Amino acid sequence: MGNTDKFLSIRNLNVEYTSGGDVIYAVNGLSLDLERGKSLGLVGETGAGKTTVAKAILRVLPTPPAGIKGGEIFLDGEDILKKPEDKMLDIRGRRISMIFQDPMTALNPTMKIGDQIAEIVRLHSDDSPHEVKHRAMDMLNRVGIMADRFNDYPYQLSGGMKQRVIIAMALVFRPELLLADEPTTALDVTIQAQVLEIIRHFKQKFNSSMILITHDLGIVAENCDTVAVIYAGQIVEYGSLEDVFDRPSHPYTVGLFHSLPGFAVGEARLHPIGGSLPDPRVHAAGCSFYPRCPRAADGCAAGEVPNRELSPGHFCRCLCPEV
Amino acid sequence: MSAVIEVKNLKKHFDVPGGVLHAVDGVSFKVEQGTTIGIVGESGCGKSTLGRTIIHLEESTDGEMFFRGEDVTRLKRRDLKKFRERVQMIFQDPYASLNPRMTIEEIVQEPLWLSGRYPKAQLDEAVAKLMDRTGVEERLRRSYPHELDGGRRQRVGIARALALDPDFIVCDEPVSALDVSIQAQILNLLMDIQASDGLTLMFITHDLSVVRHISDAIGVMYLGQMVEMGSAEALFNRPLHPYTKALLSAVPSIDIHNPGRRVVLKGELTSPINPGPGCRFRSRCPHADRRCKENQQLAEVGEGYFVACDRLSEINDQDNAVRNHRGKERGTKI
Repeated sequence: MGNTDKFLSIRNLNVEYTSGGDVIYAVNGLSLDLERGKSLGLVGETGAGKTTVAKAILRVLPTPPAGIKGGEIFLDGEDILKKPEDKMLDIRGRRISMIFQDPMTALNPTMKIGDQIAEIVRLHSDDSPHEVKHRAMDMLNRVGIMADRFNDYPYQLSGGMKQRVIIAMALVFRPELLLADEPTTALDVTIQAQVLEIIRHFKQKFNSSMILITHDLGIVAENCDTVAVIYAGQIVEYGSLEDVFDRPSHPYTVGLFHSLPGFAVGEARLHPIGGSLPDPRVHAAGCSFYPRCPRAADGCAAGEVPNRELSPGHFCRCLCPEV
Repeated sequence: MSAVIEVKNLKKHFDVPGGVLHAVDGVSFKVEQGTTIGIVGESGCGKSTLGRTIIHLEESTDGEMFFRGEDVTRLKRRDLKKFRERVQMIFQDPYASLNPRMTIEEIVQEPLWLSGRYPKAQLDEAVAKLMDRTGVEERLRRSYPHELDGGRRQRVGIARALALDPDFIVCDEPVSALDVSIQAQILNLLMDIQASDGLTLMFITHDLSVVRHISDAIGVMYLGQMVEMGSAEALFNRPLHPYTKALLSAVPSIDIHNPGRRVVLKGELTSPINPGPGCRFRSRCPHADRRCKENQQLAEVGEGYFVACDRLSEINDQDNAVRNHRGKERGTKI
């Protein structure tokens, strides 16, 4: 297959968690496509299921309580959900890497940062100890950390530098797919700008594909080719950056834009979305956004909501989209 | 003169291993009745310490503070209690700042009965009124903080802050932990209350679009010092200090057709421990030269507009020249 345009394809993914007798429906029939070398912004609020999707792709969901209840995840045409665990070890860190939100918890506090990068190199290659160290140092250098910090422990680094170490670990094998889960949320804006530039640089250099998980629409605007808006475990709108930013169609997407203080400068009042996320323990029929939707109509509460293609490549899961 | 709060050359230093941490280092400003001052800056710049020092959660090291013209720099126990009825604080993490063992009713009621202003019989009604004003549903009276979502918890924090009808509230990152749709609800609530009560607010945040929306005036802090201060509109439309320029340009824009010109700063915030003389931004400033080793004073460069950079006109001429040059390259007029 090689260079198919659908490099990553998620079909009808369902993930549930069990918690004290309750079933939490985290991801509900989610489908997504990503082309090679492109960046997809996965946007949504806390609890929408963004991180669960990323962890499902990497197959690192804690099972139990989590369980993948259905669906397929094709990487280059192969369903990785069907692969045995030992094959996944070759994929993780080599073909797919993840950058986590919180650099403080993603690093081992008792291990030198250089050794943490070297550990990954050792795990996935037959390099000699000398080569391993050289490669780790080189990678540190590339993310802008001087080689003399090799023997530092995480507590000796600032938040921005820790996130650079995480990026170095994620990129050392030039992954084909990079999952970046809120990579700059814990950082200040000037540091965020530095870190995003490093990610952009390497992504381009290695022609990696990326899923960038964020709640910041500005970061999506500057870093992504396509956008998927996720609500209650479903993609409610999907399209090119221009489709979604110039012609937002799902009422939830529209609501997100209108909630932003920077959207209409000079307007005294913001226009928030009323209410809050639905109870994830209830597997309701119909549209999950219906109780909060300003456009809700009679048919919305019951039955399947179709995923309509409004224009080529621009999808919206809504009975009455704004056009 | 109707300044509610005025601080002059306020300092808060902490003794730490290795020296003295200059968290707030000579900050002066005043806030007029019914307006909002936004304080922005990155983690570690001293903005929270500034807020905490003003409401006497920290004791100031040096400088003066005035509340409605009255010197409140040093307060005796009794005066402090009175002062705290007039000034309040709303915290970033409404979960950590609400007692988990108290019900919502008890939390909102506590300041009322501590003040001794309300007879027991009226407490119930006062609580109901506060909950109604802040949009906390009556059915949540007997709930505990952990049963509420982040937005509702922050509404409870606001109800508690409003209980004694204060003049001045310090809001320390009150919406930073919330999702945008909930954040918008809370910002609207704060602005509504301000409009109806004539409240004076100090709004501390690292989120520049939020601060622009809510503030009349804005102060930009860097390593304990104010580097630029003035009206929100002027500061966003025409930032002057190199740090403010970089900070504003670093915010990702949702305008996909007009990406701004980004100044990516090198390095990170340097240490506020024993900072030494000279401009504290110079290690990251793209314009720095040896003249920046001199101390920079916050100087008035326009009416009510202050910047701490001696080389301001020179730097801005350079920036404009670069912009004009680039404009010509692209063949666009500026």
